[in-house]
Amino acid sequence: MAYALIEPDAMVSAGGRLLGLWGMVTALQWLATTEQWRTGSALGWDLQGLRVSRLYGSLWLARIFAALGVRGVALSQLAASLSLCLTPSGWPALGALLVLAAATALLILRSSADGADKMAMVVMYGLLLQQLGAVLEQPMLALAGLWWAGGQLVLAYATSGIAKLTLADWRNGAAPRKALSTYLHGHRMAHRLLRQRSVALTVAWAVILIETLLPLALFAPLPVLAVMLAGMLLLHLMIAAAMGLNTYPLAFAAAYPSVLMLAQWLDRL
Amino acid sequence: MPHFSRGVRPCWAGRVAESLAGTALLVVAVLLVLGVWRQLVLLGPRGQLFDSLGIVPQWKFFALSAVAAGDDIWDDHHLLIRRIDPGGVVSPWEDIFWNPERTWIEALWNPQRRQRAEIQHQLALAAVSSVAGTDQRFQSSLTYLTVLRFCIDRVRPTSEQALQFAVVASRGRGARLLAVRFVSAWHTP
Repeated sequence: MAYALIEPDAMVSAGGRLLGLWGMVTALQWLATTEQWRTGSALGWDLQGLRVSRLYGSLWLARIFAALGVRGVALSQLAASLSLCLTPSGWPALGALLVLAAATALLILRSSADGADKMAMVVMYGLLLQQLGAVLEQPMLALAGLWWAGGQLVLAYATSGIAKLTLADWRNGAAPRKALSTYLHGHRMAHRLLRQRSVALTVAWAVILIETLLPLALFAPLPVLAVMLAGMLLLHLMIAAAMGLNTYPLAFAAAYPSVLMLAQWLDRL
Repeated sequence: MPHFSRGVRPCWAGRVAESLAGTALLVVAVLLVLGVWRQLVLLGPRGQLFDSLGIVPQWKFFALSAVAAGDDIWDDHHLLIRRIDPGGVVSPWEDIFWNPERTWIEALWNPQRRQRAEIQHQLALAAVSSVAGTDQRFQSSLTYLTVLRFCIDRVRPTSEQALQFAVVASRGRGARLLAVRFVSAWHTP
């Protein structure tokens, strides 16, 4: 194949930096709204901690939030993310990833996880394995990290695409038109565009096809996969603009280096 | 794969590291296969926890089967309150929570999204609850208490006033016609 081989160290660093950027934006957004999570508010831990579950009933979660609060945990997330951006490889990166994973998990338990949070956690686990594999000189560990982050990203897109294919509202373009007509999920410009049936149908099928075909691109030449990932990133950016899901592009892009390396590994088999 | 220079290390350490690496690879393979199966099932509480923490995540986004259930899922929900004073005078309904028009800056910076999503989720649960606001069991639920506390926190009624909230739904854009989905009992702070 006449294309440049991907340099693994550069890819791992790129993934780490993108994840670090996601962490910084997420942490800063938490810090900007800590007042809304204070004790006594609707989302205060004194009320939300009453969720019926062994996990929420356990004392350790309450102790952590009593000691640190949302502000303390978000500051930890911010510090770890900044460290990851500055030093995305080696032992410092490992430490940063562990702190980032712990802080993010606590914040997820404090509220709930959206798709970006879940993908970021997936990338964290993948990068932890890849970094551990590098510092301990264990290629199998690094491979496990590639399989995890790259595999989950491909699974995410494929599941989403196939699930859409099974729903009539997606096949006839109604689902994106209805979603973008709401104030919760939509934007007036996107709504105006998608009111035209042909545009809604084109958008729906473009999303379905690119998501469903991504697993096959793992076995195509690397430039094909790179173009499809670029297309997915563009989709995420448009969704961020239309639906306000601003953390999704960074979280998903952080997994793209792992997918590229996974494809390269498959090509060498 | 990265190529590493192998330094001098005890044999046992190398064997332990290799065993761990092999185990990690096996665990990842099992979790990926489990993950494929998990896309097809409904998650219970433990499954939801593993999903949230990205351990065995489910990836359906906007392709939920609920899309096929009805157009109610495309409703915007509003939270309205009114007050009654000691003289029995009831104030008009006041809209205290709704989804405003999206701005372009939210593509980069959207700190309110998480909190709004949490409140919005509780409003949607109240809207589909099919119980009366006077149902005492529902009044003890996390949904009801969260919404009530949000109202009291936002409005700050005096100790002599009582407050009632309503969840209403609107659909589409332009002139938003509101359909009442849930009305609470009267509460004092």
